[in-house]
Amino acid sequence: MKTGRDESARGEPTQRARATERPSETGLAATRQAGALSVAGRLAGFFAITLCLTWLWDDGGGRIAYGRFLKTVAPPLYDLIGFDGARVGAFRQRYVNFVPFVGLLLVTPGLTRRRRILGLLIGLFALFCGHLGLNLTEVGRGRARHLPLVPSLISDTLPFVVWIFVAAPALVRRLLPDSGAGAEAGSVPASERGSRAESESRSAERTQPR
Amino acid sequence: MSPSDGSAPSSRPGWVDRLGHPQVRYPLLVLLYLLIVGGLASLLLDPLRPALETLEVFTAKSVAGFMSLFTDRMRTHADLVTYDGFSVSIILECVGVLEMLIYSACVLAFPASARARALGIPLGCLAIFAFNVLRIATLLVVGRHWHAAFDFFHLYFWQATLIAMIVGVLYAWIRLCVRR
Repeated sequence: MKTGRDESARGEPTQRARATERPSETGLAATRQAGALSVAGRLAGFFAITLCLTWLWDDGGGRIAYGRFLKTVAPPLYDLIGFDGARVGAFRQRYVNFVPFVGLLLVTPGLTRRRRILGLLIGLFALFCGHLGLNLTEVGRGRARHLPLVPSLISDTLPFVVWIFVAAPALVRRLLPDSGAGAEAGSVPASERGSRAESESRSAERTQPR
Repeated sequence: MSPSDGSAPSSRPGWVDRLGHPQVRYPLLVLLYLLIVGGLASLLLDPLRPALETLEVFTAKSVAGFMSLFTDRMRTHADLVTYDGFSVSIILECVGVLEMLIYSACVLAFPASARARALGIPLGCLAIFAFNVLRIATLLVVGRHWHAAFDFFHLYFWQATLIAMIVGVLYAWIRLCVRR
């Protein structure tokens, strides 16, 4: 049974709490502005990262180096899995699909440093496996050699799919807030997120899974 | 005697539970739908060739129409679009159909109502078409004024912006149609 004094004692802080929950219009506008700036910053970051990586790939010798690496590594792997003598199309431009994956993963908010680094390594390995698989789908001979539509589509989608897989905790919490699936290791919980300007490394250290 | 020997269920989720988690289910569903829509598209590629050629011409005309807002140096002839003497030919890969197929697979795989999906696919494809027109227009400007950088930007606008376009339109769809 509650006394009147208890009621009033509880009521006041509750009202105060409600008042703080309901931000003023200026506060809302400021939050929206900060959010828009954050999105713009991340977009700019994505374009800067992908431009640099594409330049490294195209003009910086990345494509040639990766082609040589594939020429060395792919034949024994193909032999190992039973595709003896499969042709290695080592210098395809389609292998540039690692660029959007790296760009997306680096600008995704709310990921711990550990998940970002591990995700980058696992994702790049998955894309490398995708390149090995894509090679095997080539049809035709000589100048008529080409990649069919479906494997090309899957190859183009793979960076997106791998990104979804790696960044899932943060994405689920952001896009499906009611699912509750985002509250897991690898994501920075909303309760522990400070201002958007706060460095992610500090957030990551605070929320490292134990 | 360990606690798992009794009737207490194990706390580790099985592989069926793991498959049901959005982290695994959504990417797998995207790939599944991609196989379906991609398979259908490759089957229909030859019967739909005239329609796709019309789409190539329409894209060329759309690019010319858009750029005519800023310059009077635009010309088109069939799938060829020319800006001040610099021409590009619009082929199937340039009309955004592949991006639309990928986007459609992403929408179909997303946990949303049938109405949201029915709205999202055509509207998103329209948005992708508009982005694509902007992409080709940018390439034309780069090719005309900075010819040496054309190949680089052609490559850049292929993979990086392909994913950016799909992620952007998908995000907008989720914010505008699914979460409302």
